[in-house]
Amino acid sequence: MDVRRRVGPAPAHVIETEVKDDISLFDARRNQVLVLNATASDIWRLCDGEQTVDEIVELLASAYGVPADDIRDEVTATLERLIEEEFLTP
Amino acid sequence: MWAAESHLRLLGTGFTVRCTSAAHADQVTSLLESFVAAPSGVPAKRRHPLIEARLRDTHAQPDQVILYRDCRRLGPAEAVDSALTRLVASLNRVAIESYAGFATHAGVVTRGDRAIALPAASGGGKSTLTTACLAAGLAYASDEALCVDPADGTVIPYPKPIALTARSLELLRVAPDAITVPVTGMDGLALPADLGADVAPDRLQLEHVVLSRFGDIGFELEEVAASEAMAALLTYSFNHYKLGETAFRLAAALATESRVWRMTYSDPRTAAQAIAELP
Repeated sequence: MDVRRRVGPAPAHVIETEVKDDISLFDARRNQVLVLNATASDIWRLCDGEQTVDEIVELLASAYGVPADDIRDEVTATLERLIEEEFLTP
Repeated sequence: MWAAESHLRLLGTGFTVRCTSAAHADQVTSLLESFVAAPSGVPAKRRHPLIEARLRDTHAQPDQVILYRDCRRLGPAEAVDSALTRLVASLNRVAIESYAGFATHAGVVTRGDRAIALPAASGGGKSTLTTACLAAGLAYASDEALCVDPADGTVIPYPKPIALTARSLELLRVAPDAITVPVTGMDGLALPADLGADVAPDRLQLEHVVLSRFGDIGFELEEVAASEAMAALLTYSFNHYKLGETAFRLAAALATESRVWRMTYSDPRTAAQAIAELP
């Protein structure tokens, strides 16, 4: 994944809702649901079309107090899955 | 030809049950009494499917019954107890399929007007755990489905007779002859009264969701994220694909308003005691 690309925002057919602290997504076009865990929810919140992949990694690393390299793979894997399942546009 | 005919309504779907024997009609009435007394759900699409329970009165097979639904034979000539279990299964299937609200596989027990949902896959031990909860002092709402009215998110009791296997009775230390319809070739059927339990009389608010796993494992109970309930309610749903965004928003609201627990257990009675003591 190109770490310099900007990700998000979600396409119009994706509806998001908060379930306490976490986010769940509904793809109204395909009638599919994706329930995000806490980390994936944090990643999703940063997919606003303004941040690049690298910036999302840096922001989360700073928030969690861990080195960026420790979370880079998990963040990119999550973003790839969101794109693959069409909750984010490629 | 018919000795008795009764009209029932389950989750908004109407049924007619006919019997050629008055004695069997009395058994059906007694078995379904608390089931049909539950508050009705939202109106269903199918209004009047016909279920007939018919006694086969041949000399060759006395006391045998054949069950028909919509004029289609559902099983062999069999003892009344087996036919009653088949009848309940058939009513249940049609009522759930026809239900226009949100329904998900779950046992449901209650404390006052608050519901505790026990979502699990079919065959995942819902009925056994639900029955253990009744023995632990909770009231009964369902061993089959958490049914929700999409208009206001309230839980509609669906107190069908509880289907139990011989293995379930053994785990629960319940005598085989202590339930209303004993285990035969089919599951037995227990009524809440068999266990000294009450039936939830009215609609409920969901308070807890317990995600349980039964097996040869130790007992553990921990509170987990609400999103786990969201995933379970949709994964085990009968009909979320029909409701689309409505089911998504309902599941989110139910998960948000509940406390959510993950539990592993090997003894349903230990698990039920813990459920009865949830804060």
